[in-house]
Amino acid sequence: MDTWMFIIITILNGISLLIYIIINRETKRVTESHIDLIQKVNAALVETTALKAARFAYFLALILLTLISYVFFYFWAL
Amino acid sequence: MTDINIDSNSEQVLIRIKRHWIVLVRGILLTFFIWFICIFGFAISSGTRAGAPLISVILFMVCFVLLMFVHHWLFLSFLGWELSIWVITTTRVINFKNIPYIENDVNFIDIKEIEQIVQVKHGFLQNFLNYGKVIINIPANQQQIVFENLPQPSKLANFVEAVQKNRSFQVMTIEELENFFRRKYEYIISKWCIDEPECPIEA
Repeated sequence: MDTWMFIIITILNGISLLIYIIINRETKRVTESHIDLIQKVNAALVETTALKAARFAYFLALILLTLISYVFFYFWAL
Repeated sequence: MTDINIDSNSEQVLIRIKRHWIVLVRGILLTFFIWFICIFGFAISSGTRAGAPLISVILFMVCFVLLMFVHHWLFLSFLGWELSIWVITTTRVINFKNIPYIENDVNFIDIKEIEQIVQVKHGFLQNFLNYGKVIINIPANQQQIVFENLPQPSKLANFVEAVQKNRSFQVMTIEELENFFRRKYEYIISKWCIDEPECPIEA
């Protein structure tokens, strides 16, 4: 039972990481398309620091969630 | 607001505006609530493991999937908030409305086509935190264009109005206006007295 639980949690964490990668790529693509549209106007619009920070926070929170899931599993399996 | 430097030859980006931060508060509160529920669920799951192992496993998995879902949902809404912006240029208002994989709208409004701008702030919270919606009426468009949860809607409405006025003044300079009226005057006079010997306009 414990081994199966560990495997399922790892798979779910993998899916979570995959979702993060897909969303991150889409966010980059959307930002680039916005920049393209605005550059047609003229101004050099660069990706904002806030957006970079948001993506980094997303990644950190994902790592934290993964770690927490294993901590919960550890206490559950004790 | 009146000292906007507009170059009529090329379109310039003047400002970029994000929605008010209040739109994120609901998501953050909900996330805290779900975390609280899930930690409680994990504790129950641990406690019931010996007595009811199947229920314990299901409860653990449900709580974990719920946490995963809320985590991605929160950051999706946060990225959506970052990506959804208003850009006001010297000639257009551009609205990017985006949530990755869920929503992707780009709305271009020609500033000279804007007939009326209305700012609406209803309720205590909107007036206290100074946010609300801006409604734009365009004669060509049957429906109103509504932009929700904008910070300082009155300033935004004034800004768009100022840009609109400055632009319309630049379409015709004083010299162009004088030339226009002189040509009009000459045309009228010529129609009236071109055949008269004392006509001020030469044929």
